[in-house]
Amino acid sequence: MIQLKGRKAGLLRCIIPSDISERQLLDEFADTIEKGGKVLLGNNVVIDMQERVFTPSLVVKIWKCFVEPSGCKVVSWYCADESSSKCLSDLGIKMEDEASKVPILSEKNSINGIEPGIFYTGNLRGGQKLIHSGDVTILGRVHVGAEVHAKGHVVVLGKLSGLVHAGCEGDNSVSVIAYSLESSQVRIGTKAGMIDKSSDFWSRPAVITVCKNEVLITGWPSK
Amino acid sequence: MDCRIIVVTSGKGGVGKTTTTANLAASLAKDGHKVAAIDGDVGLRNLDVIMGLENRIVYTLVDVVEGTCRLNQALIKDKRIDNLFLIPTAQSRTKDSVSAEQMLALCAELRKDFDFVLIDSPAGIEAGFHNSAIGADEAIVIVTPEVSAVRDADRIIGLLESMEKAPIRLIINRIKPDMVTRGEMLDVQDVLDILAVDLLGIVPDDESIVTSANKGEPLVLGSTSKAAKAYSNIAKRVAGEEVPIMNLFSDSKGFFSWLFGKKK
Repeated sequence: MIQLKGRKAGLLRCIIPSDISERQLLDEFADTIEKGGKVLLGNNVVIDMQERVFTPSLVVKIWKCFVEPSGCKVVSWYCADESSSKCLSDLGIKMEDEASKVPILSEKNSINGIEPGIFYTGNLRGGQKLIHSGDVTILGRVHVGAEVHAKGHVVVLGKLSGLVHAGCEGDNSVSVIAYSLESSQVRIGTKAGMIDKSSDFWSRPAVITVCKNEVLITGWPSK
Repeated sequence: MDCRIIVVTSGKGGVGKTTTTANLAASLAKDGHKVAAIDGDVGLRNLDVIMGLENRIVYTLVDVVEGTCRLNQALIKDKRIDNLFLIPTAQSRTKDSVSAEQMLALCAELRKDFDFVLIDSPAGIEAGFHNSAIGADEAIVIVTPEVSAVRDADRIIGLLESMEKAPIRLIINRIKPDMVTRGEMLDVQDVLDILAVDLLGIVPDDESIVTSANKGEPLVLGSTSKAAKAYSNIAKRVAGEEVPIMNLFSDSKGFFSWLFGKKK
């Protein structure tokens, strides 16, 4: 499955597994564009081909099926296969070398597998899903049917009506902050909190955390 | 004037996409624009019936994209209004009969000759929707004031945004002012709060819509009903005119309020 990983602010890494066929690859690009939506539009992307041995014709296909329709800006390519890498480099395509790959991958910044946070500007609509291995800040709304899964904290600076799962790999120490809480369920780590419309925090700014094994909602700012 | 290709879509079925396409196309043509309406719902042909042109179908959209006929042969000219044309779709084929590339080529061809091309999209988010939307520049999303329709519209708007259609505007159809007043139906603001898109217009629930559909005569061609006025106003807004949103609630006052001229 093609993965889209947020690295530094405004920089995404599109990781293309080398064990899928070219046909599958093109289908998955269509799926990534549909799910990635606005995340890709106008953002800088590094295309990571992993071990795949590819040809200039594949690059053209990727351009037609992914880069052009998604509206992203490819800043560089990466390919572990030396001959493929040289072939692309000879074509004048900017390749990401190992030296520059390290900071882009931000492994140095990664703490316990948590990567630097990302900003998402715009509304996440029903059916759209945002997955990130770090903190996520959304400058917009999360509509009913939209999902945010983050290893770290999640901040929604808008109305939160969809599903948020912070600490999605089991970290109960993270929190969810919403400018207007209108979601019937919020998940943190291994816990899920149900919120009723009659709650005092409904449609209000709220901070959701896990405290003594229970999901706790408090007003924001707390009084 | 540059051609504008607009897809009329919704996600949920039965909310009034085809009726809206027929009425907007007729109204725009009535206002002097050259308009082509395309029935994008392959296999479930309806736009021709609503427009009253079903007896004149020889070739369909599928025939055009497959090269069985020329585009001009499939364009049915409406005899009641100058400048109004329909490309009907095939009833005996499926959504797979038309590809995205074929729709793009068709839209490029139509762009040369028309001011507006309106594409009536099928319900759903599958290939039929994608093919209908792919050649369009902008989108009109039809929604009724029901939670399920609003939720589906949100999904469709997300897909249209990812396809970079702009502007994406909303028509709220089948509003029942009495039910809204009683708090039993979502009102316009509720829908706009949920969907966060621009409002193109509102259309009241009106029996004349059913009558006109059965007669094959778009409302805007003769009816003086509120729905006809609403569609006519929406068409003007599509064309860039500034027309205020209709007040549907002025007639929903009780008899005594009406008698004494009281305002709510």
